[in-house]
Amino acid sequence: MNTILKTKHLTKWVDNSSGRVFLLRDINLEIKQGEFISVMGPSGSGKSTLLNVLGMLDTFNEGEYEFIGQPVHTLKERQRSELHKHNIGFIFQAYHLIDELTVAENIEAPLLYHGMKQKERQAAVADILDRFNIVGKKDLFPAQLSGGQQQLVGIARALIVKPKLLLADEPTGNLNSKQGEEIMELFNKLNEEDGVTIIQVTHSEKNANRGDRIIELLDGRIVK
Amino acid sequence: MFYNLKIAIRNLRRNGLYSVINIIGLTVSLATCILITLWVYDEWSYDRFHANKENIYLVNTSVSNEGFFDHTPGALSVYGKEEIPVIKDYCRISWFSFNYLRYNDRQVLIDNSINRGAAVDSSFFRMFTFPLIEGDIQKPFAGDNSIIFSESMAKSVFGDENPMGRAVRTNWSDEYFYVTGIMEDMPKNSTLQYDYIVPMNFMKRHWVSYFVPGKTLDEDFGEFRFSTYLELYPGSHTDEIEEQIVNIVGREMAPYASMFGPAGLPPFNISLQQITDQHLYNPDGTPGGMAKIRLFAVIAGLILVIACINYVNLVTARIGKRSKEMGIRKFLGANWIKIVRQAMQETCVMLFISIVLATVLIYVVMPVYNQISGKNMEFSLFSFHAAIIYGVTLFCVLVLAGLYPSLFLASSNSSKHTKNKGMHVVFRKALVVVQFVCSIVLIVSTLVITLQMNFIRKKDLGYDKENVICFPAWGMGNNKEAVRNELQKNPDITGVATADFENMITHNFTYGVTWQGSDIATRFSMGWFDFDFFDVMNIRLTDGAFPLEASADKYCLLNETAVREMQLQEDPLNQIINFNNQSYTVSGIVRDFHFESLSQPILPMILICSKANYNNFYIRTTTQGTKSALASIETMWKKYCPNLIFSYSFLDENFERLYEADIQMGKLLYIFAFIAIMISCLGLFGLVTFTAETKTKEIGIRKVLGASVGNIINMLSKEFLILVGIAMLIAFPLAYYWLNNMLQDYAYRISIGWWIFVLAGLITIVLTLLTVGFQALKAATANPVKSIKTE
Ligand SMILES: Nc1ncnc2c1ncn2[C@@H]1O[C@H](COP(=O)(O)OP(=O)(O)OP(=O)(O)O)[C@@H](O)[C@H]1O
Ligand SMILES: [Mg+2]
Repeated sequence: MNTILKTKHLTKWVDNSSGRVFLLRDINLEIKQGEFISVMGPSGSGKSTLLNVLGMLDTFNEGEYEFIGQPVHTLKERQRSELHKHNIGFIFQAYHLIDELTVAENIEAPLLYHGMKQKERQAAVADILDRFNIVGKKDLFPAQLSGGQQQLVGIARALIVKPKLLLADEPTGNLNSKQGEEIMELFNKLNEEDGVTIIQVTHSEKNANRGDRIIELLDGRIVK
Repeated sequence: MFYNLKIAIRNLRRNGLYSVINIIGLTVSLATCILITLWVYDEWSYDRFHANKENIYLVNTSVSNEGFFDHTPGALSVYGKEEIPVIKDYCRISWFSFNYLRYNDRQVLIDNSINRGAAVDSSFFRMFTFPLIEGDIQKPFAGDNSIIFSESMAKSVFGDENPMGRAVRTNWSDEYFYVTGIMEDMPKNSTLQYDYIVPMNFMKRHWVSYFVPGKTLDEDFGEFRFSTYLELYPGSHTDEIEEQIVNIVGREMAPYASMFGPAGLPPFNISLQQITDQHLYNPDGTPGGMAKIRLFAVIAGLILVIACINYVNLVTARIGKRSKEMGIRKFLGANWIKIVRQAMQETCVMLFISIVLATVLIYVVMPVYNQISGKNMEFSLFSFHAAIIYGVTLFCVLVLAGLYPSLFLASSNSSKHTKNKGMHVVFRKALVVVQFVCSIVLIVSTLVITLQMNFIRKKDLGYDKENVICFPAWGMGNNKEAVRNELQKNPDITGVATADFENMITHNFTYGVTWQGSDIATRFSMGWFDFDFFDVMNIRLTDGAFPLEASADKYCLLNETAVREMQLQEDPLNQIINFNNQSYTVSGIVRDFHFESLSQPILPMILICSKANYNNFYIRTTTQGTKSALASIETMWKKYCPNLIFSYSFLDENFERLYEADIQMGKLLYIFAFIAIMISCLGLFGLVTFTAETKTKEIGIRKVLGASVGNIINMLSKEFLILVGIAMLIAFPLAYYWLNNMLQDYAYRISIGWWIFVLAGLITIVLTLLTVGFQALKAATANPVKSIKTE
C-alpha cells in the first residue's frame, strides 16, 4: 500500500521565559493510505499538536515531513495551504461550526475555497446531506442542533472535499456514549467503504481499538 | 455616582483601542468644528459692529441691465435726501490717495495697497461706528483741507508727537492738510478699511464734471465714482425708496438723453443692500461670501456627524460584549434608568476628556490657522460662542451617541438579543454609508474646487504676466524717453512701456459711447497706452493695425468683446465711434485680454494709443535678469524721484494676490476635507478591528476549511466595499448637483467631467482598502490553531 505521510525526527518547540518547551520530540511516523490510526496519551502530551502539524495548520521546527510524496518542510505557505485544502479534512471536539451559517451553508463553506461553481456545490451538499441523513436539518443553525448532530455536520463538512486524510481531534469528547458509538460506526464505514485514511485522537480505549493501530504519546514523544 | 464614574473610567480603559479611537475622533472633530465656526463667525461678523447697522444701506446701481455694482454718482444721495423724507442721512465715500506726506523735513511714502485713503462726507463718523480718539464726531473736519488718520498711521507719520492740528504737505497740488482727528484703527472685520480720510468738500472743490461741464460734484449724475450709504429711519421700505431714486435719476438725466444715441437713456436700477449684507452677498443679491460660509458650515456639520457616527458605531458594535455585563447587572436588580445613566456617564467622561484635549489643540494650532486663513481670530474658552459649540456638541453626542446605545443596552436581554442584533447591524451599516457619503462628497468637492482654482490661475489672460516689473512713473513720467533709452542699455531688459493701467487692471469706464447703429448705452472700459505696450505685454492684434504716431489721436482700437457687443462683426475697421465729444476711427482689433478679476467676464474695451506720458511703467526682463533689471530701474528712480522710496511689483505676484482669498479658502478646504476623511477612516478602522476581533474564530475555522489569506481579506473588505458602492450612488448625484450650482458663480469655470467621479471613487476605495486591509491582513495571517482556541 502507498504511504500517505511520513515524518522523520519531527520536532516542535516553543520558547518562553523559562526556556525551551518541547511540544513534539523526534516523531518518526509512517502511515499508509487507508489506515485508521488512533492517537492516545495523557492530557498535555501533544496529541492535538501532532494532529495540527500533520494537518499543516501549525508549523514544526526540525525534522522532515512528507505528505503524499511532497516534502512539506520545504514548501511555501501557499503551497502548503493548497496541499492541505485538497487533501485533508478536520474534525474537532468542539465541532467549530460557524454560528451565523445554516447547516447547509456550513457544509458548503469549504467548497467556496475550491473554486467550485454554485450548481456543483449545491449538488455536492445535497448529496452529503442525504448520505448523513440530515436533509431535514439543512436550514437550521448550529445552535438549534444537538451535540451529536453538530458533530455529524462537522464530519460532513470535512468530507465534502473528498479528503485523502481525515484528522479528528477527540471527535466524541463532547458526546454521550450512544452518540459517540454512532460517530465511530461512521468512521469505520468511511475507512472501509471509501478508503479514507483516518487519524483520530481519543481518550477512550474502546474507540481507540476501532483503529488498525494505536500511537501512544507521552511528553511529545511516541512511546508505543 | 462615584462608583459609576469609577466603572465608566475602568470601561474606557478596558476597551483601550476603541476609547482612543473615539477620543481622538471627538477631539479632532470638536477642535475642527470650533475652528471652522470661528472662521464662519468672523466672516459673519463683518460690519456688524456698527451701532446703526439696522438702518444703514449701501446703494447698488445697475445701468443697461448689466448687473449691480456698488458705485453711484455724487448727486444721487444729495437729491435723494432732499426729496425722500425717510432718508435720514447719507455718506458718500470715494477712493482718494496721496503718494507721500511730508511732515517738517520727514517724507513718508504711502503704500496705498496697505494704507488706503478716502474722501468722505462729514456724516461719516456719525453714521458708522468708527470711534475717534481725538476729534469731534459731529464735526470731524474743520475745513476742506482737514485730514484724519488712523491711530497706527498717525504713529508712523508723527511718531510720539501729538498729531492734532499739525500740518502735512502732500503731493496733491502741494496743498497742506491739517490733522483734525485720530480714529481707532478700523476693525479687521470691517469692509471699509481706511487709514486716512479727507473731507468730501475737498474733492468737491477740485471737481470737474466730464459728463455735463459745469456741474458740481453734488449735481453730477454722470460719474459713478462713489460708494453711497444711506441711513434710513427705522421701518422704512427699501423697495419704495429704490423706486423713488430711480425716478429722480430718470428725471434729472432726461435732458441729456440724446448723448446716449438714438436709443436714449439706458435703463437704470437701484438696489439697497443692508450694510451687514455687503460682505456676504454680491451687489446683485447672489451669495458671494455667504456661499463660502455655507460651505464651511456644512463641512463643520459633516465633521461632527462623522465623529458622532464613529462613536455610535463603536459603541453599538461592542454591545454584544457589553450586553452580557448589563444583563448581569439587571439580574442583580439595577433598573434600566440606572443602566442608562451609567452608559451616559461613560459618554460624558469621554466627552469631557475630548473637550479638554480639543481646547488644548485649538490653542496650539491657532497661530497656524490664523496664518493660513489670513485672519486674526481669537479663541477664548469662556466666550459665548465657544460655550454654544461645546454645548451643542455635547447635546448632539449625548443624544445621538449616548442615549441610543444606552437605551439599546438597557432593553437588550438574551431572548430578544439575536433579533435586535440584526436590526442594529443594519443601523450601523446605514451610518457607515452616511459617513462614506460625507467623505465622498468632500473628496469630489475638493477635487472640483482645486481644478477650478488651477483653471483660473493657469487661464490664458491674453497677455504674458511672467517676468514683468511694474512701477509708478512719478518724476520719470516726464522724462520717459530718457528713462527708456537708459533702461534699454541693460541687456536683461527686453521691453519698456507705459500705460494708465495699474497692474494690468483698470477701473476706468464710460457709458457715453455712440456709434453707427448703437441702440443701448453700453459700458466700455477705457485704456490708454503707449505704442510699445502691446509688444511688451505680448498682446496681439487680430485685425487691422496700430495707428501711426502722427495721427494717433484720431484712432482707437477695440477688443474682440467690444466688436461683438457693438455688433460690428461685418466690418469693424474704419468704423467711427464717438465719446468725450470726440470722434475716433477704429484702426485695429485687439485680442481679448483680462483687465479685471477673473470672476468677471471680459468687458468691451476701447484702447487708445499715444506718445503721451502715462503713470505706470511696465518692464519686461529676461528670465534670469530680474535682479540686474531692478538695479537699473532703481538707478533711474534715484535720479528722477530722489524723494520717494523705491517701490515696484512683479505682475505675476500681483495677480496671485488677487486670488489670495480664494487660495486661502482652498487651503482651508483641503485641510478640513482631509480631517473629515481621516476621522471617518479612523472610525472605519475601529469598526473593522472590531469585526476582525469578533470573527477571529470564524476566520480560523475558514482557514482550516481551506480559505487563503486572500479569501479572508476579501471576506472582510467586501462588506465595506459594498457600503462604499451604495454611498457612491448617493454621493455622486448630490455632489454633482451642489458643485454645479456653486460653479455658476464663476464667469470662467471648468465642467465637471465623469473622470472626476472615477477618481474620487478610486480614492475612496483605496482609502477604504488601506484602512480595512491592515486589520484584515492581520486577521487573515493569524495562526488558525490559536484563533480557533479563542472563545
Ligand atoms: N503555543 C504554545 N505555547 C506553549 N505551550 C503550548 C503551546 N501549545 C501547546 N502547548 C502545550 O503543549 C502541550 C501539548 O498540548 P496539546 O494540546 O497538544 O495536548 P493534548 O495532548 O492535545 O492534551 P488534551 O488531551 O488535553 O487535549 C500542553 O502542555 C500545552 O500546554
Ligand atoms: Mg488536545
